[in-house]
Amino acid sequence: MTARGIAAVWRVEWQKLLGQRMLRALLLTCAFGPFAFVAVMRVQSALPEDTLFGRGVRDSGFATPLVVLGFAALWVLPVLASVVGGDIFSSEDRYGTWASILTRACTKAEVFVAKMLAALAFSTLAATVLGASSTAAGVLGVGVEPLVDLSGGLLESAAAIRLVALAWASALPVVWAFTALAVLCSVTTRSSVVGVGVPVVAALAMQLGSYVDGSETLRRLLLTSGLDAWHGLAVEPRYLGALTASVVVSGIYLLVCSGVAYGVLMRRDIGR
Amino acid sequence: MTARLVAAVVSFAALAGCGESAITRARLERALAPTFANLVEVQLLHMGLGPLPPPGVKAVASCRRISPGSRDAGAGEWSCTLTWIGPNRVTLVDTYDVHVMPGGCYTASVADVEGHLGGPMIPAPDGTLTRNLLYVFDGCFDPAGKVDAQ
Repeated sequence: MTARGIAAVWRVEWQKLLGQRMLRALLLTCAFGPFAFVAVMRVQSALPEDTLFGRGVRDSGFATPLVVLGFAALWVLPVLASVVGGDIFSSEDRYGTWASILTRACTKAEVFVAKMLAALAFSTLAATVLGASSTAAGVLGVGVEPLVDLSGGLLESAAAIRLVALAWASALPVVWAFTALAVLCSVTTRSSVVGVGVPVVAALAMQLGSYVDGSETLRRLLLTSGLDAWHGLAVEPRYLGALTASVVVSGIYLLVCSGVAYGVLMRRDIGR
Repeated sequence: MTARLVAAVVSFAALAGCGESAITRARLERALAPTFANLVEVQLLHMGLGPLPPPGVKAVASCRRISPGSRDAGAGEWSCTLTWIGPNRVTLVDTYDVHVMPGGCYTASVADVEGHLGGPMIPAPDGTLTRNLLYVFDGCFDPAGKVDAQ
């Protein structure tokens, strides 16, 4: 396995992804959806009060990306994480193209790593576009007034934008872990429906599990708990235990899922 | 695979439910009081009024759980009484209904809507209506924080 081989496959995979109309539509939705949300908030009287910062969406533009992050944590981020990872391996089974890929000068290991990186890159891109566009929509549509944080403090623009950036960045390890889970499902079942569907169902099941009032340690083992870990950044004094746990737990999911998927693919008789 | 997933979630829920709740009276009280005090200051700022003179708001919270089960621990519905020093240096008492989630975030709503904290919107000195930050507010605390030692 060489870096050059991986890079060559990655370029091909990335071109294939960007050529898919559905994925381009998904990125456009991520880019413009938050602007539609802000427009709706401006014309309707009701506010998304059941979401943190929902009461403040008309007071400060920095509340918008945090409200969108709260919504996205339910199922949008798991979908963005698995839409490519859940299909990128099984599509080769569906179209019967494994043999043609592996007749090129690349190994199975290089194909695996490149496809995995392409899936991770797409999910990162989609989450980043959603975070950036919701920030832009909030700032342009509402304004840069100070944000009231979750301990009642007033955050000026610089502190508020830092909070927004860190909150969205804290979701990335969880997104990567869901991408790895999707890849594992895609490789083991050779089905895109399972590859995309299981991580989303798992995310919803984990969300339900996080409503169980009990051991905090067990709650933090759920991947979706990491999507709420930014709450600790929005209070004073900050608490970072949940965030640290999220990074560790997401890292374990990522390594285990991608390791098992790699092992399964290597054992399959589809060429080099 | 779906059956396995459901079984895993049910097992996890059973296992997690056996553990002790991280939502305790002490944690909630220590989060609610400073959040309320901060919001009083922000509200005064929004209304164009200056900060309270020393010693400030000095809010103290006293909470009890009203959902079935323990009075001192657990997510669900709580009732919290806040004792604080108002703008005229008068000691005021207000009660909030507080819904606490297992993750440590809560929503506090004024229990007595006829009380002196006012409704969802209140008039500023210049006559404009402004959102009453004290009518209902959200907050979070560390459910694993070491704050239980009294």
